[in-house]
Formats: sequence, structure tokens, C-alpha cells
Amino acid sequence: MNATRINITLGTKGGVGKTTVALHLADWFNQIKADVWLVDLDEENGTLRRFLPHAQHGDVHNESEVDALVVAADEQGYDLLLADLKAGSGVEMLAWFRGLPFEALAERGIRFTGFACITTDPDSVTTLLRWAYVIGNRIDYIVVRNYRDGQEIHALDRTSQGLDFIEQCRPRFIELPQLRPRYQAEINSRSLTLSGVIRSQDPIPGLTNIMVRHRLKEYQAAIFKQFEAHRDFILP
Amino acid sequence: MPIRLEPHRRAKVASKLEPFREFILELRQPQPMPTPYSVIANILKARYGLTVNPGSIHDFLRVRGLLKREHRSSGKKASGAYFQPKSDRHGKRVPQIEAAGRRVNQEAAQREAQKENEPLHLITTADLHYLTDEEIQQRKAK
Repeated sequence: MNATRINITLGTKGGVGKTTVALHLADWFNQIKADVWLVDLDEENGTLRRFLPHAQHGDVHNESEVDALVVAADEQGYDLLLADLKAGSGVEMLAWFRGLPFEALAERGIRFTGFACITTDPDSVTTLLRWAYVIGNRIDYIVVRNYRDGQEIHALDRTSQGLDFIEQCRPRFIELPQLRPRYQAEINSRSLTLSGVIRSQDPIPGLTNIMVRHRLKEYQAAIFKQFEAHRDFILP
Repeated sequence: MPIRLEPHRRAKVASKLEPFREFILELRQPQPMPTPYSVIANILKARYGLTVNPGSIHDFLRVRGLLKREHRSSGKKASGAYFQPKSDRHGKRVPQIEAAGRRVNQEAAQREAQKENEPLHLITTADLHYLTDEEIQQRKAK
């Protein structure tokens, strides 16, 4: 029996960093030579596919297309999947998750990891807690603390519900420091991943001079180091 | 001659939450996550007209040493009666409490039966219960 890990970005609030984390993960999988099946479940914007055109398209509103995630893992021998959810798809995906036969899947070696991106905005934490109330500790959680707007995420660290979640579900934590807005804007506008910029042989104005390239490498290394520390939650 | 109780020996007043002790504990069981205190307060208000602060529910459990019990994760859900009618301190049954207990038990049974079809419990940001520094320290100490 092959072990399989299905990684899904959980945050259903828009702009919290779901696709950013998915892109960093895809870069990391590429670096460690892990064979991953990428699925973009944002049929409206297709943001993941804009950066990674080889990602497969899936419609989060179509149950059979979401089922394909599990079926592919179970029948087609995929052992590592990464799915990027669409913002605002929480209710559909929660209903789908609630109906999953977790015990039967675990017996077949299939486990889920939810990447939950949170910011200082309490709504981002609320969306995480919704998942936790429905799914509980039947999946592994990696909470990505996106420091885009600051580091004080009180809705998780200072509420009874947030602390209950940490006690009950024992999530791992990853910190996503803020990338300089100027770099982020340049990278986004060119639909490049961080690795794409770092490895680029062609000059990219504002991004590929020796100093900027060094900063980007340092930034990426700090994130990869955290993925490495939690590889038992991310890899099969 | 009337007997005067000294201030420190004044008779204790039973908490209005006492009849709902088991009900609250049941809601606080991980299933898979404990129901937030704010939601419990809303349930008590809606079903029994009992107005109570979410923090008071937490204090009610804390002073009775029930916080550990609520976090136990045996996984086995209590079957049968959720609510055990309590006698008052003179050993007499209190009819109002027993009536409330019957209602709680009936609703618990209905809840079990309907569980599969329950709508998703979606917490909102307004439900978040922010803790004071002292409360956070207490939780960390445990």
C-alpha cells in the first residue's frame, strides 16, 4: 500500500496567501524532486495555473471533479497532491470534506493536510475555525501565519476558540514573512514563481540584479527550511 | 433566638447554571471541537431564556474543577440521559429542574437523531471570545 498525502490550501477568505503558499510548496517539491500532481480548484480566476500552466484545472462546484482528487490518489498511484482552493468555496468544500470516509481512506494510506493561511484579519482565523469545527483532527493542519499586515494575530492567539483549536488539533506553524511589496508586485505582474525569478537566465528589470536575487534566495530559503521541518506533515 | 450566619459561612447560592451542568459539559466535549462558550450562551438564551455571559460559563466550569473533564477526549459519547436531575441540599427533588432536565434530554435525543442532516455549524467572527492576559496565563499553566 502506497502512502499518499493530499495537501489543500484551506483558507477560504480571499487574499490571505493561499496561492502564494501553494506556489512556494510547488517550488519546494520541485527542489526536492518530489513528483506532485497540482490541481487548481479556482475555476474562476485560475491563479495557480497562471503561474504554473501545467497545473490541472478542477471545478470546486463540481463534486465529481473534487472527488477526482481522492480517486486519483486511490486508483492512479499518485502519492503527492497539491490543490489550491478558490476563495469563497468554504461551504461547498466543507460539505464535501464532511462526507469523506476518513477512516477508510486512512486504511488505504491516504491522509490530508490543510494549509490554513491566517493574517491579522480575524475573518481569516474564523474561516480556519470553521474547518476545525467540522473536520476536527481528522486531517493534519499547517497554519501559515502570513505577516503581510503584521505579526499580531490575536484572533488565534488570544481567543478561547483559537486556543481550543491549537490544543485539540495540534497544528504545525509556518511563518510567511512579508516580501518587499516592490518585488512582489514585479513577480506577480510577470506571472513568475520565486524560483522562476531566481533561476532566470534572462535579465528581469528590478529582480535579477545580484543584490535582489540574493534577497529573494534568502527569503525562499527561510520558507523552504520551515517546509523541511514539517515534511512529515507535507510528504507521504 | 435566630441563628446568624457569619459572613464567611453564609449559605451558598446555587448557580443558575447548575441544572445545565451536564448539558454544558456535553456541548464542551470535542465533537470534533468543543462548542464555543458564546454559542452555548446563545443556546441557553434561545431554549431556556437564560441570559448568561460566555465568560460566566467558563468560570462555572472552572470553579468546579470541570475544565479538565470537559477536555477529556475519550471519544465515547454519553448515551441515554444527558441531564441527571439533582436534588437540592435538603435532598428534595426540584420540579422545575427536573422539567428542564426532561426537555434537555428530549432535545439531546432529537439532536442525535438529526445529526446526519444538521446544517454546518459555521462560527462567525462575532463569536470569537477574546481572553484577558490573566486567562491566557491560566490556560498556559494548565
